[in-house]
Amino acid sequence: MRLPGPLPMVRTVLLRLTLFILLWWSLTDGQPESWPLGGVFVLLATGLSLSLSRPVPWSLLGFARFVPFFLWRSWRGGLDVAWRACVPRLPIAPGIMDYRLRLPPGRSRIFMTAVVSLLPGTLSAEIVRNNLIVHVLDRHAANTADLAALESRVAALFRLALHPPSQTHRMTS
Amino acid sequence: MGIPDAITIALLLLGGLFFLAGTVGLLRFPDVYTRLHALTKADNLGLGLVIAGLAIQAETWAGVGKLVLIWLLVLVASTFACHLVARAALRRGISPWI
Repeated sequence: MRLPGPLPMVRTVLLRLTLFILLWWSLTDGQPESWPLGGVFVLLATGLSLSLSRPVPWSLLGFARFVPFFLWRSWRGGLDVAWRACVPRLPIAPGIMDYRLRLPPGRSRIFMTAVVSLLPGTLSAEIVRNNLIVHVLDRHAANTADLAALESRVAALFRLALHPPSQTHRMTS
Repeated sequence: MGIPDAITIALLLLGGLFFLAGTVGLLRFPDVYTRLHALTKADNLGLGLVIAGLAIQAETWAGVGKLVLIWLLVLVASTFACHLVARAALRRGISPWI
């Protein structure tokens, strides 16, 4: 994947430089006398990050849509599990589910794997080839639809087009 | 006590409730996988609420940034730890409680 627009590398360098400047500013409470040292470390950190990870294509609009989606789902996820834990009859029906990933291998997939565990009722346990093995708290909930919704948001965030899965989702156990 | 203080108190108490609920889940849920659910979700939200409550009291924007950074770092650590524990359990053949 290439970043759209001119000079993708310049954009990446500027973005990472900005992030590290913000990080230093935040950690030092913006004390002016810290900047001579901070400037050196900001440059070193930017250089190191560029040598460790290549530019990632991402979309500002996708990010702006992902944040409220994530916060809302986190809220629902916390309420859901708190309710299930506290009700005397323990209303859970756990199971393991295969989810056929449409995201290509790489950072978008790792990101999705991480976020799955923070959202309601799902927990990513393993990736086997193109399948995400998900442990669900309630087999009867709309887990596949939730995962597909998350996957399209992640795809929008990373500027990826999703292709329809070649195999249908399968419930095991 | 002003309105910001009242909001902070409400958010901290609510956050604490979610930590409590997560702990109840850890004790009551039947197997390693369901317990992981309780920890990751309830702590994500509980810590988020505590951070939001504290951010209102922060004296500088840099302080708010630091608090949000703490939340994000804990989220990253908790979600990958959760994935690794679940994966290790699956690979050892621990079958989920049905």
